Amino acid sequence: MEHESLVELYREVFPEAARLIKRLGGDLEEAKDAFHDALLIYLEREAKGTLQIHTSAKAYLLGTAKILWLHAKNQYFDPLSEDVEAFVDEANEAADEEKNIFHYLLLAGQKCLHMLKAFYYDNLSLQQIAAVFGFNGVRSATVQKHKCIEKIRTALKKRNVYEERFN
Amino acid sequence: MYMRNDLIETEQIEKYLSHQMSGERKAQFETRMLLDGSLFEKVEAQRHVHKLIRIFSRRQQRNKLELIYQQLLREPSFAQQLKNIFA
Repeated sequence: MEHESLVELYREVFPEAARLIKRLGGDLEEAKDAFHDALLIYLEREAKGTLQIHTSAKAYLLGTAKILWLHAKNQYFDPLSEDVEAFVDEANEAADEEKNIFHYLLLAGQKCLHMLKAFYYDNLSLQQIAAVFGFNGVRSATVQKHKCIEKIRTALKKRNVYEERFN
Repeated sequence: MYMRNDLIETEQIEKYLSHQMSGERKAQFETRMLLDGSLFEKVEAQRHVHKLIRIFSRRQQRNKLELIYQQLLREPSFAQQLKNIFA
């Protein structure tokens, strides 16, 4: 989604989401968290091509934000869809565990990280990645991508060895 | 540009993790993992890398949304609506 459309969607839907979360008993901060998570899920599904909107983007975001808020308050009793459940679990885990883990990611360098995000998260093609990051073709982008993965993987393996010895 | 052997392995692990291996190649790969502990460790570490990339990406996206929020708060009608809701 283009940045401008995202801002437009935010401007249009957030006040409504805030009203909804307020009615349920939440505050502004909680409304913002639930709304941001709903937007992330929306954008991730859009990037993967699995977004299915039956009514409108607005209804979709409001529905998702409501479920996420209720779920966070242990007031949602239906099963979550698989990707939403994985999203919520990983967000909780990330909050406890990953504070210093970015250190390992940063060892690979900012360019690596942004390229990996573009490929795995934003689902850009290798052609697009080569163009955006200035690689000389798809082959070269592929090699760089694997080098980045390898660098982080090696750093993580060293950390695991360290933890096994000292914990 | 040529691929070093270890990069070819990284690529294979990626195919395995993203379910892009055919049944036969997958079975072969899993056998190799059983016999080669260092390959098994690499696969697990690489799975972890993908998770970290997701966490990093989501953090970036959340920062972006926070900036949009801050930007919209400077629009009087948007800020007033929120003020009324939580008054």
